[in-house]
Amino acid sequence: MSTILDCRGLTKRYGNKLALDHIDLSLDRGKIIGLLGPNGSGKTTLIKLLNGLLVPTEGEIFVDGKAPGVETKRIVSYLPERTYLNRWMRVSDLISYFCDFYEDFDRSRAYDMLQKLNINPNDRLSTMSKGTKEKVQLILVMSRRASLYCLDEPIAGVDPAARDYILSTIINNYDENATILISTHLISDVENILDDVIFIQNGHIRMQDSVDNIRMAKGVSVDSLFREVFKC
Amino acid sequence: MLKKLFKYEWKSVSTLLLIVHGALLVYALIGRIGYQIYFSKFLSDSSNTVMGITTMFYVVVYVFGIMAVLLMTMLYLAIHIQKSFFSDEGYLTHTLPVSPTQLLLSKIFIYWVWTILDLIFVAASIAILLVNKETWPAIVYGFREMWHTLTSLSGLSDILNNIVYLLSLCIEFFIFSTGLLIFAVCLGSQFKTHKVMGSVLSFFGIIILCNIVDLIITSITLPGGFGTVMMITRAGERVTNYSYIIETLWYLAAGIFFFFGSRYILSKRLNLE
Amino acid sequence: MSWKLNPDRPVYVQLIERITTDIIAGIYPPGSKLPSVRDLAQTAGVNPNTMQKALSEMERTNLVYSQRTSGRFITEDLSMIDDLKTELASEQIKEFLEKMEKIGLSKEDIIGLINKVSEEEKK
Repeated sequence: MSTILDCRGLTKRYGNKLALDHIDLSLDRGKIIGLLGPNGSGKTTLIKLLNGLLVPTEGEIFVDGKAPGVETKRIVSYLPERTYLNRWMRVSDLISYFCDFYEDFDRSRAYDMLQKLNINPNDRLSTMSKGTKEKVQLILVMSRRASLYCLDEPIAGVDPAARDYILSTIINNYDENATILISTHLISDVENILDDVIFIQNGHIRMQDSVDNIRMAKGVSVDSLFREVFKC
Repeated sequence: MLKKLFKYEWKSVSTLLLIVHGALLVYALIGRIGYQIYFSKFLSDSSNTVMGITTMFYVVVYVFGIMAVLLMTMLYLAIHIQKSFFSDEGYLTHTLPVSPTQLLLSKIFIYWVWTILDLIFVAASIAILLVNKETWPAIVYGFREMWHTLTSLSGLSDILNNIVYLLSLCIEFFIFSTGLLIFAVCLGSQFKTHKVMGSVLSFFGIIILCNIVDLIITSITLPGGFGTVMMITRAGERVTNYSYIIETLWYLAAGIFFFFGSRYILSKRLNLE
Repeated sequence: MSWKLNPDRPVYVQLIERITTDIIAGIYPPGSKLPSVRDLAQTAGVNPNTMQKALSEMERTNLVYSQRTSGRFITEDLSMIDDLKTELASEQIKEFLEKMEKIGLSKEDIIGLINKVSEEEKK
């Protein structure tokens, strides 16, 4: 399967609100892709559907050719927007937990990253600052050798130095066979590392193109194009 | 995978539960020691009012304590399940490469294990408090009588009696009650707002429904007809009480329905906030 | 620190420019081995895919060649490197001359000014 993700007529309705409106989307393997859109455009909904945390109202979604389930969860590594880890756990406990359930978890890589950041594995999450917690969550997600990484707003809540670190962690752990899907509204920070971008608004896909094409054909950065496309 | 899930379930709930149950044992121990001291020193002075009041106070707290522990264990486990499946923690739970069946089974097992431990601790604390050379024979006698009365309800021969009764108790608890609890938690998640309230409502709602079904079954199958409260075996006549067996089968069926219902909600109707 | 990149132009084009400049300047001597794609990408702070694209393009123009398992090497064609050096310098000079024209200096003025400024730089 050369495409890692396929959506056909994918729709998600919450009561009266249409979060995703008959989306058709295909993502190739081996790329870093930005899912860009304003708040409430459907980015998180799409990612949650991908991970089997939501059920489609209509349409289909396939990860590596399969519907979200046990098999897809093995190959997808997800970083949610929120703190979802038990605050009482120590970092070392979390690493053991991930090791236990995910075959592709690389323990040495995780400890390596923790050490570089001077994070003590014996600390509990509850004692850490928000930025440090985010870094720990990112380390856990990037230490897996997954086929698809879904990072939902990985740099939104942190200072610029931490952002740089997070982005370089993402690049340095990147495997050419894997796909990284980054959902964010902070475009100028991530543009330089993206291969492709998808613009999404009100549950519709406005555009899907490579960063190079945009820059060459339109002579503007993706950030500028975004501001133009999503002008209020 | 199931073993691993269970391992983490255990780690997650046991600390608190062990402390609470341990405290219960300690309380019983204090009672027993206090009793020994009192009676060895003030044996003649048994009309001491202060001691009398203290003892009564102690016993009242103890009884409430037991009820609180029993209730708390059940609630704590229910809340744990709710959090694990439907709160932010759900983001972790539901992205693990395990099936909804495995998730459910791990929760069911931890619930069984801790409810049994709960009862063992309570029994142990009572034993610590009450059991000594004099009281033991009376306790054994009391249990035997209770057992006999209860098992005679089914109207079958003695050994079969015991087996059937035991089996029905097991089914009722392990399958029906556990299923009910988990299904109520899952139903709660389907409410758009106030999910916890939803779980509580579902819980009592289902109980009411089950009681109605109970009533219907009893009235249809009980040999003496509707209104018969207890089977009394008449001299020379053993009347088999089919209603008992059918009730048990009904609990079994309901329990199985609850399990599959929960699984359905987790796999096809999961919508995590 | 990652390389400074202009957000209005494709990244891989800018990577080619930067690496070419480094080759011309002698940071990567002719015939020497280039760091791996991953290492280069890490240094530059870019997506390895993009670095790969840049290097492949440089392979196409023969500035760089790859030996199956050993990695990528700078060309030993000194004349090519020299030509590139001249080309790069010529482009810069053209731009410079255009700017000077806008200010309104003649060619003699420019040369005189260049001498004067470089004298001052030496002090």
